[in-house]
Amino acid sequence: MAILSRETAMSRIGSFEFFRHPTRVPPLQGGREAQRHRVVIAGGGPVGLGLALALSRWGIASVVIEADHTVCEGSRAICISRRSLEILDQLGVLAPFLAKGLPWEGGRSFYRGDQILHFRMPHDQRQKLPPMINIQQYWIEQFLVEAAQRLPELIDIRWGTEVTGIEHNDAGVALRARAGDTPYSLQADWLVACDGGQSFVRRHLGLKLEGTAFEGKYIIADIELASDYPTERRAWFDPASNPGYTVLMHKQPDDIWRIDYQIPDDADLDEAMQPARVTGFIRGHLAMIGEAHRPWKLVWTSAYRAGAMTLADYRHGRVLFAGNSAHALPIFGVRGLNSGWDDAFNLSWKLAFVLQGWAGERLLDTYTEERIHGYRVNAASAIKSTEFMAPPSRGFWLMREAALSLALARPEIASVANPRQTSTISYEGSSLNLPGDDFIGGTMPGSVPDDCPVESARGPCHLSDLPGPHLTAVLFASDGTPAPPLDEALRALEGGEPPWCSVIVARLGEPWRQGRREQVIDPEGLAFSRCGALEGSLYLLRPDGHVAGRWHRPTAATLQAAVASLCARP
Amino acid sequence: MPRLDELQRDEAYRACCLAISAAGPQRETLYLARLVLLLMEEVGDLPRCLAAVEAAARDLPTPGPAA
Repeated sequence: MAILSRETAMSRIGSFEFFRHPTRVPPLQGGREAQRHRVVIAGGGPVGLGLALALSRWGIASVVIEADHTVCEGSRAICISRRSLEILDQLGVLAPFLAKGLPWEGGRSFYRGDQILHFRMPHDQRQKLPPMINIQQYWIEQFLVEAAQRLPELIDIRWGTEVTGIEHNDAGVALRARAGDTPYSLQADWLVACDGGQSFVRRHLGLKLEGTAFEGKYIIADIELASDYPTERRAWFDPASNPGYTVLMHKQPDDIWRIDYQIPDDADLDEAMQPARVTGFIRGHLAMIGEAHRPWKLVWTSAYRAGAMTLADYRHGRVLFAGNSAHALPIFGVRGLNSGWDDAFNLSWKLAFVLQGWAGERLLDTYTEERIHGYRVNAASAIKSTEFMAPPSRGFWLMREAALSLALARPEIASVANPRQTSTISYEGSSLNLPGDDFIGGTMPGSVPDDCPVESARGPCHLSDLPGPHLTAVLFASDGTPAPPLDEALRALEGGEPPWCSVIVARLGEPWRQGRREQVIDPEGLAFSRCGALEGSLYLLRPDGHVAGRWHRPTAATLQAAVASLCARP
Repeated sequence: MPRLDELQRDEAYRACCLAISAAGPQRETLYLARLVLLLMEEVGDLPRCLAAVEAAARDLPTPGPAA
């Protein structure tokens, strides 16, 4: 839906130059690729590329099939949450995102002329990462492509190639693809559909998203505008620039600004997206916020309608779904791409465990279980935001007007205007959560621990740095010495499969690292208190950083049973 | 929880009547929605708020010609 001519849009937006990747046909024998692949990923967007990078950490090669020749044209998903930054950090690609992205912590909402809400996302100095950064999706994809290109043996991106057919059974997946004019077939153990909201794989398998579509319509426009207004989310309800409706504004790198504005439910989208209409609207809005004197130009336009919909199952035999192919979430609260990366990161370790023979296929059923739970939690918050941002019926309009008009005098009522930004999903009730001991505070099984700094042999680091492509035991022992029987059990696990790392959190001494064991120092006891740990307490972290289980006095048997349970072994 | 006696109820009832009339036909609905929000904050108890929301909807008649 970009309004620029394709050639213009393809060359440059701001400082970003689009590179056209050539299409490559693999070696074929009679129209068939001889090499069978372990994983084929349909879709080279941020979720597909993220999954390929996540699998590469386990030494698992994948083929990414992408219909386009370039990264995406528009800014699309622009808000990356702290949890997503943690995932990017784990994938080893965080640095360019922090260097280019604009961090932010909160925002303001206005009703007519008055500021009625100044919200802040949870943040403190112990966090490694900001609660959110803004960055255009073409930069996101570019950084992921560059990371993938550094792993040519493990990630094979096939640009300008479409999936045209799929057959699957218990043993694998047979695909037909077309690279330019060349059709060919290829085989894989597993297919992961990361091919977006219009997923070909989903349609080809006859699957449908189910849920709710909302009436409210938004136009999404990017403009190039050199404004020094800080990075925060601004929302205007019933402003002079859009009487009766809503406008949102976000800053992006390269002096690009995102303006989302609501149009009447019965408005004609094609007409509303005409450049003259869009520029006319934006001129009025910039005048209202006192930025009319600055030069600006429109660089991208799209349209948006909210929906909260999901597949009932994200696994269909050897075909798995992740990101927008699996579910659609309303834009408000930024759960689209962020939940897609959560999908990919959850799936990656489970698929790796199955492919490496460490776990039974049943482990993959917990992918659907946990991520459908994630969808429900995300949808509940996103639907609340959507009902406020695009009221679906008269009652929602009326109560919103009532709340907004009271919010200045009664600030507590303004909380209904909070955008309810995405936060880390806890897999409470997951069948992977292990029975353990009662803790006072700390992090429940299924959740991700709150971050805090510790000292490691690599220098200052954070709790969020401890997980990796392995199970991680975090043992709290002030003097750095595990009890001898536990020490022996940990040594055995460090030498076995699936890969296991033991981290001892000590209060005193020096940090060190040796093989699959390291000691980190928690001089002020912050990690102890954040985890509700006693002397000898142990947290077992999954490769995606979620807590699998926690115990105060674990034994060798506790840990062996934990591994067997995580690996879906009877 | 404090309760209204008959005289107090009369006074609250009458104050609502006057305020709705003062709001006028164009703004009376918004006025009532604001009143609901403020009263819910005063009640400060979700089950009681939801019970009132439901009770007001129960057997909701179509207003007569004079209303």
